Amino acid sequence: MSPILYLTESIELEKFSNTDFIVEPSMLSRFGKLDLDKTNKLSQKAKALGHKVYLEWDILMVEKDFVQAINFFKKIELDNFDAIRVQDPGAINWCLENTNHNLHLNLETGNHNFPGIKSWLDKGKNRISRIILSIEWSKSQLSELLPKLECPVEFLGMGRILLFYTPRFLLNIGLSNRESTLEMGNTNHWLEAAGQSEESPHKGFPLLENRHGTYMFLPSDHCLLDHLKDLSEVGISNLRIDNRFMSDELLNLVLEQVKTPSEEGYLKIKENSESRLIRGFYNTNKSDVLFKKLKNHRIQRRDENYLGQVLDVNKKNYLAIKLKNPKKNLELGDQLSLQTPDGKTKYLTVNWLKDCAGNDKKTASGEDLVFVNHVGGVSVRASVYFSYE
Amino acid sequence: MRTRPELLSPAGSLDKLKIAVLYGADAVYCGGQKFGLRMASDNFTNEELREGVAFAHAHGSKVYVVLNGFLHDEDLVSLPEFLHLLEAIKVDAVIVSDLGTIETVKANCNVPIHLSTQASCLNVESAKLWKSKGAERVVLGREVSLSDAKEIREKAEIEVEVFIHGSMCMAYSGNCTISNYTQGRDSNRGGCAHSCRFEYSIDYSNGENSKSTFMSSKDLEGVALLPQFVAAGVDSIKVEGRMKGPHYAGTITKIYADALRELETKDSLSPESLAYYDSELLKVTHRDYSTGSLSGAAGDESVYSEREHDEKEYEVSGVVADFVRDEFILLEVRHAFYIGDELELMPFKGRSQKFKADSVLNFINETREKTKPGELVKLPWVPGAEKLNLVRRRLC
Repeated sequence: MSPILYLTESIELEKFSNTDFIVEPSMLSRFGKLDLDKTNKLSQKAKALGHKVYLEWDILMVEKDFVQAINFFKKIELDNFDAIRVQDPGAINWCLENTNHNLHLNLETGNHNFPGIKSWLDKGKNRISRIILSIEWSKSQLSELLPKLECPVEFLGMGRILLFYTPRFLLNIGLSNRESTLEMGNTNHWLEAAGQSEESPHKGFPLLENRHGTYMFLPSDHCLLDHLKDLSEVGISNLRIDNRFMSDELLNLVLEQVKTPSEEGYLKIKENSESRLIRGFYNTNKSDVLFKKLKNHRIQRRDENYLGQVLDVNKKNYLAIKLKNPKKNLELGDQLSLQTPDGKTKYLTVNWLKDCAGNDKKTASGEDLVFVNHVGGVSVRASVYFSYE
Repeated sequence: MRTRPELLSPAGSLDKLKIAVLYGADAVYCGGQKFGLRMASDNFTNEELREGVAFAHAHGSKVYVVLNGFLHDEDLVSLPEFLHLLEAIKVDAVIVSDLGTIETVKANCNVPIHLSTQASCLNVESAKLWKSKGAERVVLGREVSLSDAKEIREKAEIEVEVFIHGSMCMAYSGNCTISNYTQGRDSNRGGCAHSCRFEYSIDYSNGENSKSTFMSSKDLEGVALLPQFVAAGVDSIKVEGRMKGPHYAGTITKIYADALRELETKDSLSPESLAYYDSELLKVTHRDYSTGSLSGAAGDESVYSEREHDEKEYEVSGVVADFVRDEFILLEVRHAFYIGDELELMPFKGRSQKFKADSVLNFINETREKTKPGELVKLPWVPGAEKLNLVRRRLC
């Protein structure tokens, strides 16, 4: 796997050979700092030195921004680029219809299944030369997916984990000398901070505001540089190193590790990294297992024996039951089981049945509200079922 | 009569579905037990979905079912069976977020597809792409203005649905994974922990610091812009809030239904009625209101500068569970109130009716000096009362 790096102004291109570089114009990319002139010059230089050069267009755009982006895009010397990296579906569609370049589809958001990825590849036909997957894909999920894809796949090898992206300018608000809206829309607008909340155990969330909005990152960085063999075996073809927030010293260690992986090399990276390094969801993604604890499943309606729900309990006097099953009638003498919210089951034989006016009834149906004799241990919201035992 | 947009209300449960429909929703959206974004909401069992669709259709309303989590391969395995059910019970559309779900829907049923706001469809080209993949309607991102919505609708030739009311993500929808990494709950599969509402201390690189809820958005409120929604040709106006209670579902639906009715014969809302709608909107629990990006990019004024708290002018005292005309209404109590309190009954149409709870009796006619949530009490008859009417009480 060859690494892919971001081409920042501080990169000395001559020191690299046959490297893939991402060029980020400020106008088109979330964390780009290059104006048009620098975009064209840097990409031209990288291309001339034999590197692969990719244009990053990863911002999300409302229509006004989209029009501005296209106007800018048309001024870029596209011959310098081997591919365009796109994320907004609008940008994908526009590039497919208005350019001849290969595309790298950034599928890091909202693409977690094979049918969807296949559909994107079908849409792009032969124009899609790479897809970029979310680091929420676990190793086992990747090993099932990748053999089915006929397209090179890029994955983040090391870098910041983006948690939050908004077009609103949120950091400026807290400053004593605020910038104007006009200034915030400039190429040079770049405001960094760190945030923490008493309501979160995590401290020091890196925060950034630039012309495209505000971003929050996880305080820990993603790093799979101790799993390079795994990644290669599973079918990852391209490994992105996010060097934009990395010291030169650390970058050198990272590149050495990619070239010649070793446990020692990984430990050196850990020692030199300012942030804690994590593997995120790579080993396993169980981010849905807590869902079943978010609500009380005991009071959910379950099967065809369902009759309704207890609305009121008056000790030793009555239960009020809201009938909720239009297919079932409740009759005098029926045997019911009542499942309480705290997990108990109580049984009741209907000895009397009345409507809300106190009139005796022999049967009730539809959405009737009825009152029946009391049984102990039953609480409001208990589910009522016919008991055929 | 002018063409008016559909009013689409949230239905977090079967009860809320019925309330929203009866208070004037042209359509409701709800979720099953899986595949959606509100796993903590009651949501619907299959039987409840069947009943909810039948109820809505009987009252002339449509039902859209959300499948808008970013579904993983393993989630898709059981989706076809659910789709067959949705088609069988004649659900009017499904709301989806990703291409894999769209492909699965297309392969398994003929239910119309609406693209969820989770997909952050923000521009004409994006709408064209989703249309080419099978979406009949796009629920636009909350960053889209009404003028852009009009342009998208016209140039992409697709139905557009635009949020008009409710809570807003500060992030581009679908582009927030704070809960995933800090709490192990996938925010894009229903586990959002609302970390954006927390108060944060911020240390700036220039040495300054501040403390604020800087990532918390005010709530969207667009009733004053409703004539512009109509003029823009928006096909559906959407109210957020499947997690919210019946008071919210009923009140917000009623306000927008009333306002839309007014616009069937007029180009604008009268100052008097606008003042009334505004005052009614204030009666529901809410954060400060903002028009978000409806008229232009949301600015500083869209940030909610307070910690989350439960401040409200009114609360729902209960829901009319039954009645004996000219004798009493039977109220299912949701929040406690006292005998003698002044209450308001919200009819499905028309202004609220104040009445005094000077008699509060339980089923066996014992007087209840103070009610408690989860009991049924008889209150004096209020002319025009119907089952599922809301009764509320002013708190301050």
